Amino acid sequence: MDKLRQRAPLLIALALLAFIPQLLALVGLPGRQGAFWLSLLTQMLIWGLFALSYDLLFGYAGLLSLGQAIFFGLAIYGVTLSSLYWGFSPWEALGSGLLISLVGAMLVGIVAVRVPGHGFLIVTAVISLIVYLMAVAASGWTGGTNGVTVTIPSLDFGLLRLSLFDPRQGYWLALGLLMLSYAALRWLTRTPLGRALELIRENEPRAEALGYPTLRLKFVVFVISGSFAGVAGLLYALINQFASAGLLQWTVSANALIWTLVGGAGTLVGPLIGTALLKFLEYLFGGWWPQGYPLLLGLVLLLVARAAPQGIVGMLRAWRAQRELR
Amino acid sequence: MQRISRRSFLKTIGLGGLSLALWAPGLHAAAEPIRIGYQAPLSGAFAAFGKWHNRALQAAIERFNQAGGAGGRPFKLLTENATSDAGKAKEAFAKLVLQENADFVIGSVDSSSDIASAPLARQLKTPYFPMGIASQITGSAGNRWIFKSYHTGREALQAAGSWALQNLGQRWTIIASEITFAQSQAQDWAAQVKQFGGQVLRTITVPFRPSDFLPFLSQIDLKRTEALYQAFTAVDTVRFFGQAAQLGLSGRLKTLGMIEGIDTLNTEASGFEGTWFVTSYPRRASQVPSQLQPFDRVYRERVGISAEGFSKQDSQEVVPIADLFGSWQALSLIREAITRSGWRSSADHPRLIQALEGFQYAASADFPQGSGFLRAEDHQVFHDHYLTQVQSGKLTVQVHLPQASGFYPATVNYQQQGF
Repeated sequence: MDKLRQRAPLLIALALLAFIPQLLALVGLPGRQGAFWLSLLTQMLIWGLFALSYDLLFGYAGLLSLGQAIFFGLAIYGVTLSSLYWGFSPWEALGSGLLISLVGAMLVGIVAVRVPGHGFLIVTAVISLIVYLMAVAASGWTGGTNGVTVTIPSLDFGLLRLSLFDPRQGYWLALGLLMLSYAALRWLTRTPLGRALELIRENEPRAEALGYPTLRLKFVVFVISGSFAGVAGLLYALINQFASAGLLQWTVSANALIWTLVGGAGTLVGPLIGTALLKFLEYLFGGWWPQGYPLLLGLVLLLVARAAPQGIVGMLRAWRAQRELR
Repeated sequence: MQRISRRSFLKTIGLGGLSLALWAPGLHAAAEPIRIGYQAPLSGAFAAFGKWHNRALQAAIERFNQAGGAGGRPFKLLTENATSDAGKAKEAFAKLVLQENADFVIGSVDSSSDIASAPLARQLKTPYFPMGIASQITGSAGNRWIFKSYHTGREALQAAGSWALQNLGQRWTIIASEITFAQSQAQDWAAQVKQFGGQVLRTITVPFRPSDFLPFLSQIDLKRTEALYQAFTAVDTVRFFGQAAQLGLSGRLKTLGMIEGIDTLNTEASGFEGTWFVTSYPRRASQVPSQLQPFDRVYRERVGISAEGFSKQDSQEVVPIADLFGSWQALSLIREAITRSGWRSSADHPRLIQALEGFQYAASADFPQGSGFLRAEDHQVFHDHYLTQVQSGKLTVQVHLPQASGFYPATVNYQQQGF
């Protein structure tokens, strides 16, 4: 019963998300207006999934990386280019996108996880920059910073064919994939591997002294996290049908870091809240005062650092714990 | 006087009400504006262009509305700040179409924003007129819903290729910024040099906004190079020419580039003297061909551009006049297509697209740049070009390049795509 009470906010949020298309229709938003809000929510879900992958690496294993966008971008390019140049079917393109991000995460992981402390941040940022510059240099193929487009009209699930041109169906796909990824990551963080990662985050020398193969564990989590970033990339490619070298930049990873910090690192649900909140603020400010958003973001980060270092979810949990003690 | 019975009074009122009810939706539809969305880069790297395109669109709309709009309906401009970022530009496109019900969208001058929005145009079934000049917009990245109302880099450089190779030199060094706008020009120009029997000695890539151009300028083989192709954007162009002048390169080498790199710059700055630019529109009114001058006067007057190419409100501000006619012309194409296809609503978009495919137009105040045509296969417009040289600090037309000089084979056929 207690467990159910604890999970109630999450279940309510999921139920709300699941019924948003119906809610939009109920509140009388006309078709096109509703489609706009669904498109915006779909983008939040895609970036939320990306932030979720980042949380596993940073929030659970304590690995502060600026290279997460590499695997996100590689998956996008995997889908786009294989479909564009080799005529792969949607499922083949998705498979190659995921494979490329997985292999990319393994290659970067082998180099990066060996570097301790702040060196890890620098190495991941530098590799991200190199991959970005390589994509720019191969602009005849990758489209460079201009990007390339691809057309994948639908995704066939046998009995069900999802039209990727329909905002409502795109939304269902994004929500479904996010929920599956969330469930998988939640399960993972509760396994012995998840506990070991938390130990490494809190005290790596102690974890080593206790006999944990820390290097191997960090490599494993780096690859898993990179693969989930790849899943977010697949979703991005399917919904946006576009790839650009800009998506490989370290700044994209820095966004995930900010969303995670604001929402609450090491909570899984926090990065989703952080992403939704900041993307919405970005949307609100973007049109009429674009400079306002970075300013506001700076203020939010200051506020979080001072008042809620554990992020929004951390603050809520602390508040609830205090209330239960009374 | 004949008395009106209660029955006949009610009958008259009833019939009157019924006919008003039947007539009113028609009246409402007639007054409903045609919504033109503008995905405007009002901040960021392309803000100077965004502001002027917005003004050109507003001016074109006012002019059309004074003449009765199109199909009896006025135009209405909806501007959404797309910044100079592809992700934000996509959001702006979706907002324009889905929230503000734009019937047509004019795109940003930022090619990456245009390419990112191209799939959306198809998904949301909205005709899209991007202003970026990346060649792939009317190639692999485009689709049947996209029309280019003025040149791409490929068309402009194709137009200049033959003359430049014959008159500026056969042996070229290309120096270009690392950004895609410049790199795609570097590739397009290398192809032109090859096509017309010249030789590219070296392509030098320069980082975006480098601290110093000297290490890159020193890589130019001065003994063998006859001409230099440069591809930079605004601030970098000024710094590049400034340092090249200090090294004495300006006098020794003939230099060519595209107008888009200097469209908002005053060419009286150091180092510009003697350099060549391919353009689609003469900056100075006196350089416009005499048969087009009446139309040019309307265009400049309406948008607020002086005869020398500066803003009428601020005599120091250079107006990107060669870029702007793309927006002005896009609106003219939309109006023509509405009239020809009998377009009434978005359901008629396919008919409108078919009316635009292969559309030919003559010079007029609607098309002040001159006559041209929209190629049916790739939706690329073809028009005249000019080679201008900076003389006494002013851009001066030296060569008029006819429409045909810009032709190249279409790389796609959108007509094979459905709607």
